[in-house]
Amino acid sequence: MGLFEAQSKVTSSDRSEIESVKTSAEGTPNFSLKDSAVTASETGIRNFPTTMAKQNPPAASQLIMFYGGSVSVYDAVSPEKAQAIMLIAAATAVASRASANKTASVAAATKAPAVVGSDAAAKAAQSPAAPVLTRTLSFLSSSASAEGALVKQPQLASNSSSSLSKLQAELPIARRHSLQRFLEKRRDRVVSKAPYASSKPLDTAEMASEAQTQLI
Amino acid sequence: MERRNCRMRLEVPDSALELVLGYLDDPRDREAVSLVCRRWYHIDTRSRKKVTIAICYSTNPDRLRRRFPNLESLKLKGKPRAAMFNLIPEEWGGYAGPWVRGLAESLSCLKSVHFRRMIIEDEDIAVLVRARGDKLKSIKIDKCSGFSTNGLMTIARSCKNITTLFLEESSIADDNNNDNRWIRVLALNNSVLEALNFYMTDLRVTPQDLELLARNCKSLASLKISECDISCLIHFFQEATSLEEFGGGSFNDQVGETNKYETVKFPPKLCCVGLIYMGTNEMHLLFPFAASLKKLDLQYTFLHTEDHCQLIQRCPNLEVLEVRDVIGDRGLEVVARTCKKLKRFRIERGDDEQGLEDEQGRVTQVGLSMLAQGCPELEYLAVYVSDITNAALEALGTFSKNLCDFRLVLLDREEKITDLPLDNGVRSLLRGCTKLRRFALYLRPGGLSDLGLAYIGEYSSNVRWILMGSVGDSDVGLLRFSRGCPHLQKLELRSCCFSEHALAIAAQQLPSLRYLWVQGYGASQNGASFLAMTRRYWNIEFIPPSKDTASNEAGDRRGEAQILAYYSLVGRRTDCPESVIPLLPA
Repeated sequence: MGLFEAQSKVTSSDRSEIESVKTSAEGTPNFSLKDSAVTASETGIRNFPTTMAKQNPPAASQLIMFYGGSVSVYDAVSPEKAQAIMLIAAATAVASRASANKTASVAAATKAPAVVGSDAAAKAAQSPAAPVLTRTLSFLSSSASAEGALVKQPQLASNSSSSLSKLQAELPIARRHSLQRFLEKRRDRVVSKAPYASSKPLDTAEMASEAQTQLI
Repeated sequence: MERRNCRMRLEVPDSALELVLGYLDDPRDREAVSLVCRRWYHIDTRSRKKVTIAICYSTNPDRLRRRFPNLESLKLKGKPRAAMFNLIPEEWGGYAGPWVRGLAESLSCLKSVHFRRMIIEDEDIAVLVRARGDKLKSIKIDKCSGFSTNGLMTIARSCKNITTLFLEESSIADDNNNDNRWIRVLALNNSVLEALNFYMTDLRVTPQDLELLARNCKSLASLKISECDISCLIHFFQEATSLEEFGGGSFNDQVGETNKYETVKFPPKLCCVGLIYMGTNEMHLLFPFAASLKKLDLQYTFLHTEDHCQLIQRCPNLEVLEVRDVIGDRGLEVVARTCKKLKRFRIERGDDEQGLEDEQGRVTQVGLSMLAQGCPELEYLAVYVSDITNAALEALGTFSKNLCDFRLVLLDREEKITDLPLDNGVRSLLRGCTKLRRFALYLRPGGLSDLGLAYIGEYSSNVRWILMGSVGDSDVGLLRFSRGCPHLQKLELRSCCFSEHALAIAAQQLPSLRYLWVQGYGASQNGASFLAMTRRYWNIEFIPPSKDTASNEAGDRRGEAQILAYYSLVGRRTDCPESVIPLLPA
């Protein structure tokens, strides 16, 4: 399931990362990408042994990846898609490095339902990641014409997203700001002076709530 | 040859076309016009008067100015809608400054500005007023922050011709130097003001200034203010003879002071009212003119269920009603019986704490069904319910044929809900309410199955905005949903179980989607799966979970990660705070 299965693959897999990037044609019948997918499609994938990589200079829209001792070349990859793939690679590389340092927090994250909450994840998403990603991209774009440009070997973190996604995130229903303020003010008034001057069956309830608010 | 003779081309001069197209106000019609041909595009460009920019980062002032140089009215929205529920960091963005600086001088016809959920500074207001001053007719600074009473003073001094000044729910700093007399200055400089609104703000009010305003602005029809004791406004009400709408004020009856409000008499034309902290003892003040009431706001009152019944049964002409769920099913029965002209009805969520709200203050399928049958004119219904059934939703589908905007939130007060999942009810509602354009459904796990989600996709043919919370069982539901909804432009999801993969695919599949907001999803560690929805002009921003939430509730996770994605013609925004991470464009 999923288009970019690269993420769920374990590092030790010997297969090329590229082979696992499936297109809609190969994916499960329910999914379909409206926009043109990464054209790592039937027409584009070629697997060369490393020695042959130097023969053809890369065209402008060609994406070449070195992984696990083999090279894959993709034709006609749009710039946006190429950046997306590079970002995924860089992001998982950072994340796996961070998670290697903090295995405890990663374990905690798998238990917490659907929270991108572990320090590792937060750090990965924030500034440490950004310079890494920018560096990677600028390096690649400047050497686009160079032959045999070496992409950073991505380490595919064993992602526990599948277990996270099954757990439902239950967020408390948020209250509208204006009403929140009114209810807070009303609680203050209940505490500070006698509410509801008329005698109502609610008197006992009000006294109970007064006691409650004073305990807070 | 024959064909050529039969073809008679009627040359319509541009001026005539412009005149005809000038009658088209609806932005959708205008959009269609601009797509016909180049000539019609240019005519629309020259003659477009009003534009609403749903998210200010989708374009920039320069593009707007070139596209519609003769714009008269501009509405800009900044922060996501979730900001109204305290879910967006204050410093998120939505700065009015660049817009004011870019447009105040160059849009020579600009008369009306509306900033909603934006950050606007005193200096920005000064720039606007310096450039447009006398020509401004309407200024709306709506749920904004970043400015002070200094900015209001600037407006008060220079905008002699404004008929509308709207500041509702904005965060306005009090500059103590001014002593808050901007209203007085406004009253002295302006005689045409028709509507002044600083409802739900913390601005201080001096009653004498309001009296001056009433005297000098004879056309004042609508005034909504912050808290100010009603007993201090007695003279104002006497002076404001044109007043049709009044909101705000406050009641502060102390024990022993029984006659404080006895002499309050409201202006003769008053038909729209919302009085803060109004209690059982004060509501009789509305009785003399209850029969002519068109709009009633009871959200900020202290009325019990029985009070609601007593009051509303006297209001047969009510068109707009806003309450908290303290109204209860009993109150809804009264509404259904009495308010046959009701068009807009909002039932907000009361306090959760025991004893602070009336015990009868619960709205359920019982009240909802009666409401559906009793009020066929309903166009807008937003309701927080404690219990619900499919039958109630079916009733809405059967009777509420005019419904354009429907929002249902199922509170988590009751552990057991009578009838879940709501798949069939939702289907019936969507099939029956063909005019529906806005739809919100916030439930709980088990509230709507994947089949129910598929129904929403299949039957919301006209819907433009959807908010869903806690719906569906799995990604399958989301993907089936996203196969439908042909006109869905804006989607907000909260507290669902969908994975990043599925969200990305759904975003790609929905044909009209231009805005997506999600909080509470099956997040991965780095948000990378969202990159699967990469495409041109699509900005994706990630708000990582915040560590300091301002809530006291244990286990509060309002600070959970959020994803915001929207179409933009101008690339990634450059003013992100630390709490917002733009993922794309890189």
